[in-house]
Amino acid sequence: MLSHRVALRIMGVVAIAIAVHFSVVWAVPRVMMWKLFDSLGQSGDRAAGLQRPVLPPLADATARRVVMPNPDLLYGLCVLDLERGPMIVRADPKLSTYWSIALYSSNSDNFFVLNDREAGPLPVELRINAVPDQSASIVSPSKKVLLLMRILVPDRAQGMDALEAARSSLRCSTS
Amino acid sequence: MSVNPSMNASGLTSRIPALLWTVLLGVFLGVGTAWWAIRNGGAAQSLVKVGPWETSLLAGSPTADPYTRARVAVVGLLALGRQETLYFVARTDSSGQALRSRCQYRIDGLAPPARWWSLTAYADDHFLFEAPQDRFSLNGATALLDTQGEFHVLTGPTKPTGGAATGDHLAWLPTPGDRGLELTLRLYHPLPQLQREPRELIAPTIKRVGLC
Repeated sequence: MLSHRVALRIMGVVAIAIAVHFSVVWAVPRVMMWKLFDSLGQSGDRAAGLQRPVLPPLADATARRVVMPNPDLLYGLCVLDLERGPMIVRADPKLSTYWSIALYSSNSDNFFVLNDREAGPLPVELRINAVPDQSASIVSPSKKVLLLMRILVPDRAQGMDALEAARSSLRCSTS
Repeated sequence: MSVNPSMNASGLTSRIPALLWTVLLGVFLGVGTAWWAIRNGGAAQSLVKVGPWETSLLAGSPTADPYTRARVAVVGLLALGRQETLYFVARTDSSGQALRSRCQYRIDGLAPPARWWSLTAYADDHFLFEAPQDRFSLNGATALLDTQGEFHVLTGPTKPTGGAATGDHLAWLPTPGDRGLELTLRLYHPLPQLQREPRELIAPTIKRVGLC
């Protein structure tokens, strides 16, 4: 028969293991996003109202910031800091091929996506806020948001000028 | 009744290792089971298998359970929801053997019912191989389909030069080195029926060619 002390220790191990187990599962996506936010940095000066998007080259074996990079897409990224109010995202891709703008919360959920078919031919303007307000088109579940623009590159061997121009139309700002 | 201070201190000292072991063992078990659950079983309810391919019904979704969310963060961070994109990943061939980059595999399948699709080879660390001539993927624009509407791909470390492993419609995806291999089939804007029921995908077959 187990002594009282041994039984208490076993219960302690199980209790700690359960608590750690659920903490790790909860924390993994948040830590991955935090690392990504950190690696992208605060490019641009939010105080000046503009956040310069990060525009990486087409993915190859050296692209190691995010797992499973798609070599057939051009990416544009912004870290949206909604701590001090809403941010505005503008883009005017003018492409007939696939593109999309997706928003990810700090726990990695994709809570919004807009693609070329939904957007139509007109320029896109999205107002994102962490708290509901009358003019916000999107309410974010977190105060830090990752914006990821994807632009399809049908053939890497073909010209990239129109695709680069579409990506360069991305603007993330406070007004 | 008086208490001997030296006895009290030694009793406390002897308990510290036991307490430490209890905490360390609990942390070890907690981290180990969490990591196992994230990598293997925890997200099984949201996974759909079609031949050697599997997809998560909840990838990227705000309704994902914590295990699916954690698993996607590790193996496919920044995934889109299935209304936008379906991701089918294969880590074994059609006979269930783990994929290795040093082996040759022939992949045959119908062009998937989507606005656009691609097939990409990744190493087991989920990043791209150092592929010559930027041959990282085959996609709806670069694939040559045969008269049946099928694409044919050969993966392996060296470009096929002759025999049964060549053909007019056969594309080569280089997988240099000797390590685990993952194939990802992406379907952008899959047809609505497939969005609802990803298991209805007519799955491409993955067959090993020769010895390795």
